[in-house]
Parts: sequence; structure tokens; C-alpha cells
Amino acid sequence: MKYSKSLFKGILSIITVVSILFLCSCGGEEEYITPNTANSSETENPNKVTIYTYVDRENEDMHYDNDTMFYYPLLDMAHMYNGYCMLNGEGENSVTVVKFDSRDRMIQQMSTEIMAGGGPDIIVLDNELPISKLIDQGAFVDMNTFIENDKSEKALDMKNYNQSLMDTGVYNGKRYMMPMLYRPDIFITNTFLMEEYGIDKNTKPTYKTIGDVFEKLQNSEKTVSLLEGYQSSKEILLQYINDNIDEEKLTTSFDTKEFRETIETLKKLITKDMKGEDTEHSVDDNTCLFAKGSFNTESGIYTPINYALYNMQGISTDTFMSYDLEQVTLEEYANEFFSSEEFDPLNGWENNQKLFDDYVYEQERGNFENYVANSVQTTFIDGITENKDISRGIVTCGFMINANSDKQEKAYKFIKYSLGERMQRFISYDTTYGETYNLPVNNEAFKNAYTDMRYEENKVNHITKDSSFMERYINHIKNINTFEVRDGYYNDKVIGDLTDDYLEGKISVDNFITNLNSKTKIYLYE
Amino acid sequence: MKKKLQIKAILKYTLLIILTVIFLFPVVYMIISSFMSGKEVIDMLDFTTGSYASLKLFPEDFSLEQYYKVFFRNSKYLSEFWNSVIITLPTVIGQLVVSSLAAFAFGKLKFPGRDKIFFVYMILLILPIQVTLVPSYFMYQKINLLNNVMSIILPGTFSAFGICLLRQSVRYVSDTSIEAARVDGASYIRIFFQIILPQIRGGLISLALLTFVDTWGVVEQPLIYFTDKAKYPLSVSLSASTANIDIVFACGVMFMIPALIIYFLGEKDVRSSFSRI
Amino acid sequence: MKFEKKQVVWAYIFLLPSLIGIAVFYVIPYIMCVYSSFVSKGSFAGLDNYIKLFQNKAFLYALRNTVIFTAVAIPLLMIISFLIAKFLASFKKISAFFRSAYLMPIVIPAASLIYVWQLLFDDYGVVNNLLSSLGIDTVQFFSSGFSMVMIIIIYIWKNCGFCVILFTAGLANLPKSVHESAYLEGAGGFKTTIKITLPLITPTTFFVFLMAVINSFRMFRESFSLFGTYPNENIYFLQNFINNNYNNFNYPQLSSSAIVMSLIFIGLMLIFFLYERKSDYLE
Repeated sequence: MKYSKSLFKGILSIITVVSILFLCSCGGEEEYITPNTANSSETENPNKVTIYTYVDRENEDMHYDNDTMFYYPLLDMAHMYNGYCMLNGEGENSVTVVKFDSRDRMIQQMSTEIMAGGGPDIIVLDNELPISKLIDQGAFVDMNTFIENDKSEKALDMKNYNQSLMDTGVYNGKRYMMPMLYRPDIFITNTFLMEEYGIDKNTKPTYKTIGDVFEKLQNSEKTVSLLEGYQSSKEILLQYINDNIDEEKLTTSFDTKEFRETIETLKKLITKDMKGEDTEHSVDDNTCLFAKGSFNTESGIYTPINYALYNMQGISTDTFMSYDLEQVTLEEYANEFFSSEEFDPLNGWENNQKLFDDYVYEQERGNFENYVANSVQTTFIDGITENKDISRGIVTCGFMINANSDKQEKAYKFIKYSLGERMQRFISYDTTYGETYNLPVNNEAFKNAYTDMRYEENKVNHITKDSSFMERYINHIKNINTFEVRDGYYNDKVIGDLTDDYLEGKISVDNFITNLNSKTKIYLYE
Repeated sequence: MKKKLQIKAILKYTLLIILTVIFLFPVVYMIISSFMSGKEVIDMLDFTTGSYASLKLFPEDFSLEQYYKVFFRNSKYLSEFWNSVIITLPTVIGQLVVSSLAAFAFGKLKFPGRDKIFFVYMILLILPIQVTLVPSYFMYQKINLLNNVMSIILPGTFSAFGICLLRQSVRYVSDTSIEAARVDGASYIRIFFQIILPQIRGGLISLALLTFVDTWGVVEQPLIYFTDKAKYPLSVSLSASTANIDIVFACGVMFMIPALIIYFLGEKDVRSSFSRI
Repeated sequence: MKFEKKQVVWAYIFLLPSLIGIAVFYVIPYIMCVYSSFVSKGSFAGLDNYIKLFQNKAFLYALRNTVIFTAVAIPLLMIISFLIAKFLASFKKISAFFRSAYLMPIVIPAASLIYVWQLLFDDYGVVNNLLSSLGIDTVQFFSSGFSMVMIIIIYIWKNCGFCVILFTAGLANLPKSVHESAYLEGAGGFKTTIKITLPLITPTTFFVFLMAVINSFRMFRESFSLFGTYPNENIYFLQNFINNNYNNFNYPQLSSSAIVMSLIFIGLMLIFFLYERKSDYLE
């Protein structure tokens, strides 16, 4: 028996030794990024500040993600900052961006590394990061200490920034996140359409009044939808759900009658959008009442200004004809046009179409100018909220410093530089590739946002571009009084599919609310 | 009396058939659906129309569209199929070798601490994968096994499952034949190869089948350990919610064929081996 | 107890590959997990993680559901498969086809069948079609308390065949004389089963139990594919909790809940062991 015990001990000790050997060999290395990770372009330098990003392989040149329609200017930012460091002899401060080929991969790698006590030095506020939960766990560094300790000339002065905007990153008095860009929750619309549907252009739609708007739309014969498409419609529903969650008290108000009625109304609005004759509304069809911004098919740029130009172009030709001209008159014009000298069969279809439009426009000029002057006005309206006095902006990009990082000072320097006017102007210009127009948080850069906007010259010669458009847009943005950080993780991972099912009619409203309650409860408690 | 027996027999057979139908139905239905055209599948799984779905026991128009798409239109599924093979075959072989050796030790040899070690093995066997998933990740990261098929093959190879299964088979090998061989001066290695292995053939085949099925359907590990999507096995893309719904049944059939082949090849051995557990 | 030295040496040689492999791929990760369950934010936190864990309502939901599933599904599976095995044993001769048919579900990988389950159990699925045509209220399998029923049904369907084969084998190994003598003494069928058959097939029962436990973890695959990462609260299992904490980077919570989960199953096994001491499975 003695013999047996000693041998048993021997075996146990062998296992222990093997285990310890493995653990030792594990603990020795400090490098967390495996060499075969994704397609990191630069050689890993352990002294450099690292940031992770993901790059869709198909859109590598644009650093643009197809799924989220969001353009990540990180690579350019790092490039610009590294150049600045070189010029100032601070090469040791430079940053390196590790590229992943998918968002899921990046998040997975990052979460595992952070749990292992490593991870990138700077974490980008990403739509799918449960940021409030991460803050609770102390994953990020309080940046106020860096701001206070910075005695240099270039120290960050928070007074130069909109306080309520910057405070979206403050939790319990600690500055964990530094916003970089935000997106206004503003719709572009035009007074002509609003008047046509009897909607008062001065009232801001709230969840309560949107039902009335819907009724007016529904009673009309034309297939005008409220919003551009399914995604932006879903966004409204998600926003409404988010507005009904109290994150502090961990409670929801999904069980109220009001909630139920409102989501039913919203659903009707959205399904009307979906089941319209063509599900993909193009803006120049003038079929949507509220738009976030638009897409220029040729340059691939999404901007509000493009929307305005396109929309007006639509009004001048398509709308004008379809609204004001009889089919017979139009045919007459067509006959005249085709027999005239202006028509050149060798000229492509598109050019001829444009010439024809111009021709009709010239013929009907008198009517048209009157029409534009009297009724067509691009205007802006705040996004739908619960309260009439709220006008909100949503932080789309922000930086956090990883609490595990051993290069926190350096990381802060990069963030500080990124908040400077130069970089802010650069990225707000750069991110116009995104789904919507992103605005800089830096006040100086914001003032220049109008001139920094890039837009295509309008091709229809008789429409002069509305130069006041951007000014008015920016002015409207100045009214924003509430800033929010979206919980994209909740919207996407937790209730994303459920919301889709509900909107597509796979599940009933009761079912939706029950599930919504239960998922949200679990998420909040988790 | 005779009539009563007859009624009883009819009832028994009816019950037997009902049971068999219950067990076979989903599988058969999957095969039937794999011969539907992509559009028909989409229609069938469309629950948004407001009317109830019903079973289609025969495809409206028999078509090989799904198979055509899987095999010829998109190389993704075939390459993923191959990835599955690369992961599964070494795991099965490794598991057979390691388990049969250890099962021999546990089943027939006497050594100190045997039962205690075996108990530890069984406890490790019932540990849910989630317990060790994250620590394993850290470990593989350090020893450079991430994004490497080895990160799935090795844990599969050393799973205690095979040992538990084969140990039972080994214990049914009669002691006298081993004793006789010992008296003849045969080494343990020879005993293992000449006496044990031939007699646990059925057990080995069952183990191969079960390990195969288990590894073939692996989902969690590749998602976490593989950085490169090109290395994902078929099981991952099949279980993803974004799977292409129009070819999903053909994929499923393609997915289960290897398992079925192994099963039918060793069917007799498999069933006889279980009689020794 | 005496050991033959040569035999002991050879035994360890045979065992060595497996010992190393088990140590590296199972024991070390488990120890790492145990260790990290006592660490929070880089410092030793004692039982803090566990205390927090038991204050977390989501964890309690998950724990409750896992316990319900384990306590209902595993015994139910064992009982049903035992009954089917008895039923099959009552036939004098039976085609191999039937036995093969029962084994089929375990051969089919989980991922392939998801859409069949969806077709059957969706709100507008086949089962509800049947229910509504019979005039019974339809059931929302994907979002109500019935989700648990559905998961248990799938679990039993999937694993029953394998357990039936195991029980059939166990029953076939019983000496016939046992039954006959019991019958002669006037014991009824039910009594014979409880008093004689069950104790005699304890090793088989134990193995079936082991398989049932192992396979109960694998049900997460089905649950995950059918319900996503955030299912409704009735089928929110510990696996979901662990998985979601992975996405939330909450490692302390992840590891401590993983340890609690493993303790539940180790405890379950120990109870079974103590209860079935007579079993010669472990000697």
C-alpha cells in the first residue's frame, strides 16, 4: 500500500511538473498579438501604441465596412499622427493600427486579449461593444488624470469643446471615453411635401404625434413613405425602445399601453415603407418625407448636401413633370424635342434625357420658377423623440484607453492630437464616406465643417446650388442639446433579430413585447 | 386467447412503427427537402405570409438545384467540407490510438491510483466545454496553436471519452487468454496488439463513429480559435444564422453522408460492441 | 494490495500519452479557470466574484434553467429510453432496421436539422398548424415557457436512440434465469423491473447517465442556433451566460460561473456514485 501511495504521488507530481512547465512557458512572453493574426501590415513593435480596426477586404482602399456602412478613418489618422511625430522628433510616440478582416474577429480577439490582461492600447468606441458594461468592469482609464497632469502648452482645454457632448464619456465623474465625432439626429425634408400632406413644418415630430403624420400619409394616394428605407426605419423603432430603458434603475417601460401603441404605429409606418411599390426608394423619386442624407452614385459620397441637390434636381424634372404635366403635354414636348436640332441620336440616352429635361424645363420655365419660389424649400427637422424640446446628437466615434495598457501616456497623446483642430477637420472631411454626415467635436473644426464639405458639382445647369443649405444645416445642428452614446451591442446582438422578425411580421406584437422584456432584462442584469 | 395475443401483437407493431417514424422523420424530411428547388425551400420556410406552414412530403418539382449550387457554383462549401475532413480524420485516429492504449491500462493492468485517476478522467469528461474554452485560448495563444487545426485536433485526441468507452470493451476480454500469453512470455505490447486490439474491434469502430460525429459537428472551438475564416469547417457555416437558406438542406445531407457511411460500414460491430458496456 | 512492478511500469507507459494530453489540454485550463475565478481586476479577490455572481439576477435565471433542464431532461431521457429498450426486448425477433433507425439522430450533426425544427416549431410552423386545425390554442415555442419543452423534446429525440441501444445491450446481458425465478416467485412485471432488472444493469445505467450528461452540454449548439445569443428567459442557460460574458469581457464572472457549472455536474456525478456504490463500474 505504501508503495502504491508513493507511486500515485509520483504520477501526480509528474502531472504537476508538466502543468507548471507549461504555465511557465506561457507566462514568459509578453506579446499578445500572434504573428498570424489577420493581415497586420506593419511589423509589430511592442513600444508602439496599438489600435485595432477591421478592414473589409473588398473595400480595403476605402477602409469602409459594408455591413455597418461606416467608414473608419483610423488608418489615415494614424498615418497623419505618425507624420506629426516624425516632424517633431517624437517617433517613439507613433501609433500602429492592426487590421482585421472582420469585425467579429476583431472583437473576439480583443475581448480575449483584454481578459488575458493585454489588448490594444486604444479601444475605439465601436457599435458592437457593450461600453457601459466594460466601464463597470474598469476596463478603461480615467482620462481626467492625464488632462490634469498635462502642464505643457498644448494641454487639452475642455472649455474648447461642447461640454454636454464631451460628458457623454464621463461616468461617475471619470472621463473614460473621449468622443471624436458625432452625428446629428436630424431629418432633411422639404416644406412643399410637408404642406402637401398637411404637416405643420414647424412642429417637431414626437412619438405621440408621428401617428397623425402616418394617418395623413396613409390617406394620400401617392406612395410617399416616411423614411428612406428599412434600415433607417428600423433605427427609429430601436431608438424608441432605447428611450424606454432606464439603464440606471435597470427597468423598462415596455409593458405600458403607450409603448405598445407607439410601436404598432411605428411598425405600420415602416411596413408601409417596405411594401411600397419599389422597396429601394431613390431620393430623386421624392417618395420619402424625411431623409437622413443621400448617396451620390457617382462619387460614392453620402452627404446631406448631395441629398439637397439631388432632391431639387428631382423636383425640377421628375417631380415637375409628374406633378404638373399631363401625359399628353409631355408627349407633345417629346415630339417637338425629337424633331428639333437639339436631339442627336448619336448622343447617349442619358445625355438626351438631360437635354430633354432641360428642354421641357425651358418650355415650362414660367410655371416652374413660380413653383420653386413658392413651395419648394429644403428644410430640417429634428429626429423623433419623446420630448418636444429634445434635439439630439449621437456619438459615432470615440476613443478609450485600455486599463491594461502600459503605454497609457502615449495613447493619451494620440487622443489629444486627435481632438485638435487639424485632425478633427481632417476626419470630419474623411468620414463623409459614412452612411451619414459626421461632425467634429472640436469647435473650431465645426465652424469650418461647411467649407470642408465635399460635394459634386450639380450637373443640371439650371439649378444653382443652394449655397445656404450647409449653413442652415449647421445652424440647425447648433440647437442640439442632448448627446447620447448608442448601445449598439444591445440593438444589434440582443434585440436585432427580434426586431427584424417583428417588422417582417413573423411574430405578433404580444410575442415581441414579451421577448423584448425578457431579453432586455437578461441583458441589463448580466 | 389467440385473438387477444394477435391484437396485442398488432398494437405492439403499430407502436414500433410510430416510434421509428418519430426517430426517422426529421432526417428523412431533410433529405426530401434537399431535392426541392431553392425557391421552394425559401417559400416553405417563409413564415411571414400569415398562414401556417405545412409539411411537403414530396418536392413540388424534383430538382438537383441545391446540390448543383453546393458542388459547382460555390467552392466555399467544398473547401469547408475539406476543412472538416482535415480536422476530423486526425482527431479520430489520434483518439483511437491514445484511448485504446490507456483503456488497456485501465481495464486490464493493475497499478496504484488506477481508480482515482480514472475518476478524475470521468470528471474531466463531464466538464462543459465553456469551462475550459477561454483558458485554453490563452494557452494556445502562448504556445502558438491559434489559427491552427491542432487547437481542435489535440484536445479531441486526448478527450477522456474514448477511454471510458473502450475500457468497458477491454474488460470483456477474458483474463485467461492474457494470463496464458503472459505465461508464454509475451510482452505487454504483444498482448495489446495480438489479444486486446482484435477483440475490441467493435468498440473501436463505435468510438471512431462517435468521435467522428462529435468532431464533425464542432462549432464553438473554430469560432474562437481560428482567426482565418478560410479554415472554418462546414459545421460553422451551417450553424450560422446567415446560412444560405436555399441550399441549406443539401448542405446538411452532404454534411451527414460521411457519418452515415461510417455507421453503415461498421453497423454490426457497433451494435455488438454496445452489448459489452 | 500488491502490484507487479513490471506491470505497473507498463501500465504507466500505456497511460503516458493520455496523461500528458489530459494534463495539458484539460487539467491546466481547468486550474487556470479556477485561479482566475478568484481574481478580479488583477488582484486576488477571494470569494468576491462568487458573491457578486450569486447577486446577479441573470446568473440566477441561468442557474435555475440549467438545473431545471438537467433535473427534468436527463431522468426523462433515461426513463424513456429504458422503456423503449424494454419494449424492443419484448419482441422475439426484430429487424436490425429498427435499431439502426433509433441510432440515426446521434449520427446526424446538429447543424443540419435546425431548419427542420424551425419548420416544425415556428409560430406559424407545422405543429401549430396541427394544433390550430384541431381547435387547440397555438403555442409560441420560440418565446414562451414552451421553449424549454421544445429543447427537452429535441434533446430526448436526439439522444434517446443511443441510450436505447445501451439499455438493450444491458438487458440482453442479463441471465434469463433471473427473470424466470422472479416470475416463479410471483413477482409482477413492474416489481421485477424495479427490484431485479434495475440493480443488475446499474453499470449500464451509469454509462447511460454519463452519456446523457455529456450530451446535455451539446444541446447548447441547438439552443444557440435556434434562439441566438440572447434567448428568452426560459431557456437562458449557464452556457448563454458564460458566452455572453465572454462578449462583455467579464472574465471574473465568466470563470466563476464556469466553475459553479462544473461543480454542479461534479456534484451530480458524486451523488450518483455514492448512490450506486454497488455498481462495479469503478470497482
